[in-house]
Amino acid sequence: MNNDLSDGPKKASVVKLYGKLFLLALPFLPLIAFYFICDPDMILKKYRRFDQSEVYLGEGHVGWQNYLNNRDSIPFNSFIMGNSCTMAFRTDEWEKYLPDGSKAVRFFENAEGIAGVCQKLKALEEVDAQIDYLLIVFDVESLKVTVPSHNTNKIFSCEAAGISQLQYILRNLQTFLMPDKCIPIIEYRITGKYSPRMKSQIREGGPVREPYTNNCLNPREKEIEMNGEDYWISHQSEFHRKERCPGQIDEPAIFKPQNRILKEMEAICRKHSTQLVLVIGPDFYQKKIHPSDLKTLQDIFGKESVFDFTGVNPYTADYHHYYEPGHYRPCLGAQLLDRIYNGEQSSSPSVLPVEEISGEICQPFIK
Amino acid sequence: MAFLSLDFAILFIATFLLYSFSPAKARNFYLLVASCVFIAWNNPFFLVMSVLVTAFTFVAGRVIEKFQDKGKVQLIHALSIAVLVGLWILFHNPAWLSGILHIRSGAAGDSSIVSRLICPLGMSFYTFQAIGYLTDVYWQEEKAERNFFDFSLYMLFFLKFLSGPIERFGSLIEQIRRPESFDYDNAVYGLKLIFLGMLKKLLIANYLSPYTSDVFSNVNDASGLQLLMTCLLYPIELYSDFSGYTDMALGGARMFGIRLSPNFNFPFSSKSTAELWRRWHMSLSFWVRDYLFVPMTALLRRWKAAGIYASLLITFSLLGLWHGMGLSFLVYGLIQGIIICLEMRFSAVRTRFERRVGTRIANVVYIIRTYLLFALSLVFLRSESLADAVEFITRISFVPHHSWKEMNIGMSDHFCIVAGTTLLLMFIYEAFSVKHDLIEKSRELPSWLRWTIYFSLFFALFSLGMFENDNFIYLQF
Repeated sequence: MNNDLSDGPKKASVVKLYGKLFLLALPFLPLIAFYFICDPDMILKKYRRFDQSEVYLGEGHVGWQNYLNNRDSIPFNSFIMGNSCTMAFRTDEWEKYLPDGSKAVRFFENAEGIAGVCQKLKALEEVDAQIDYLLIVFDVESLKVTVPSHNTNKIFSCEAAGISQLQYILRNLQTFLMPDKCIPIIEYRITGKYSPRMKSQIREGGPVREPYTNNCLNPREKEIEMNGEDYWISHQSEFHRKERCPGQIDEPAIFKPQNRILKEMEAICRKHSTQLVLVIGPDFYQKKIHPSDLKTLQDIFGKESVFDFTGVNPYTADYHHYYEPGHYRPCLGAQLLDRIYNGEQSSSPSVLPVEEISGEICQPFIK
Repeated sequence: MAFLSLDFAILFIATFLLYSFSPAKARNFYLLVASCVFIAWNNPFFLVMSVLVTAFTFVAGRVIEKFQDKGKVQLIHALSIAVLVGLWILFHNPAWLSGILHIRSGAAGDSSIVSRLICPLGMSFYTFQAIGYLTDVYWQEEKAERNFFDFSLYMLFFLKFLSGPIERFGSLIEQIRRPESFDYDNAVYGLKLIFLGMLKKLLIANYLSPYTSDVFSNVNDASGLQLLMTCLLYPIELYSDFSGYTDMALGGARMFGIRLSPNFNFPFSSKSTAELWRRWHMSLSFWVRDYLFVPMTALLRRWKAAGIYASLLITFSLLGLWHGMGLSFLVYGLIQGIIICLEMRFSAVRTRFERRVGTRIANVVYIIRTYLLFALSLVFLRSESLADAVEFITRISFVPHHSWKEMNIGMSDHFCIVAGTTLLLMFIYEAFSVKHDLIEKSRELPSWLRWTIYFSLFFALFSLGMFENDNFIYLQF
């Protein structure tokens, strides 16, 4: 038996194998090439602006890169962190209550929990960020999350996630290879036209964020401007009115692991002499945070830093404050800031009787 | 360097490219160089250690063969085994080793240096190979190897170095001595096997792993229902992880024309724990049977049945300790031994039960029983301490904290669907594989169908595979 490759059939079989492997990889090669050339996730190069991308980007990544790549020119010292409800708190509005010269930036993540915020604070520490003011926006669900999300689109920094830059790129490439992601993006890039089937990956209309501050530009705000009261009538199916439960108290969310994370956050704030404002946002369904959770938060961060807007109160009573039950509008954010900085610092701003407020919501929807 | 890392992919592809374009006689050289790079990449000390053990075993084998005096041979054999086992125990017990290093250095102890030195990767596996080889030479079942180069490849071959299979000298050395050049069929077969292993690892084991780990590390916070589900899912995770690794090792070796021993044979179809151990981690259980259980049974033959039970209990206790020097590992092994003893002792009950309900129903009951017992025993293997394992088992119940949704132990619906579907496909594939080599059979499919399957699986793997966790569970042993 001739073991060498000098004979033709053996050489041919080597070529055959590599040929077939190439064939197998062939459909992936254009996709990979597209990814590296077009950089749809905006992770391969350094960017200073992220507002012009038509693809939905990882919010954590955008917030982190926006901060890192602009901090030399803009002396950011104030951070709005937390979940997507941070969209209600605009940096320019907040800066009104901060000392002159303060520069705020929004650095958030969708469905962010306390673990994610803690991880982001540590990352800011690592890069010697100046953290003078901190506005953290949570809801009760945020308090339950004790592990930062491992989802690829929620990784804001390779270092924080403990992976290499290459791994980070490969993981993003992998998510890009999912048909529900790559097909709409490629189709949009080729045709330049938006179609409703792209809505999970491509945004319709103008930018969804402001450059540098990363303030949210919610397209629904435009819709409200255009349609007025009709906005809430056309979206009434999103507001599950029957689920409103005024007076009901949420289950306790803070246990040992949460306690540990909250204390870590407090230690970072103390180290940097950070003035913290922690907002538990006005839940549309009017469920009240559990008193023991509120007490724990106040014990850790101090009564003067914790602001609970859950439950029955003028903010949650008026549906005009909401885009949909999960998100409230900047007009409400401005009211809350006013309440925080100018009003009496009460842990519970509930002023109206339950029956008076809970009745309000139904009227216009019946129109 | 883990099997699923980019470093490994580069090393493997480079070695295979060289092999495929070179004459057959160059194969072993490339494989040995690749093996050394592979081992040293993790830590050069691991290479030094494994080469030292290899050289020691090589010389000891020659010496055992050379001496004619039975007493001397017995002594040398026993001493050699003692050295190998001693080293292995020393390196598997961080406390002992760090104690010795502290005494020698007189320093307060740099624990980081100690932690880097201890537990060389793959040591459990190559030590067992070495012991098996020396015993075979001692029993005169194998001749001592003359070629150190071939022997080194037998010991250090990178595709089985980390987690086995634990290869018998006779079966592997013959293949090393007669290197084959590139063979298309071998390469394709090997690639398919690698692919199968990746599916098991990336679409089942890695999907389950974060959630079971979370429950195991927070036993007190988990509900009884979550503990129950974790207990039931962990054998699947472990199997997908380890058999996935083994498939990749076997596939990779096959691409180089080397056939390694299979490690699994559809273990979850076992109708008894004894059968399970003939189907689960076969290279280890057969090694333990041949080099421990059989000699010990011969030694205790005067005790009759009691001798067999004692041998079983000792053998399985040692098998448990092979995983680590902890009490929970000992209990894990002991449980296997006790169950097998009970199965032997009450075989008549089994026969009566089969007669009463019929063989089919009895088989289903036995399969479920075997799985449940194995799942419970694995809690001891997985838990960090005996107390944790006991706490875990005593708190298992059908009671959720809040809702029945806790059954998914935190996995999203998407995760459940992907892992569940892959698991189902894997079981179907393995059930059919018992009678037919499906990889071989797949060549008979029409090419359009074959390529459709290739592309679909390839796409599923790369778009759904969880590449984040590139570690394999058995690396720690």
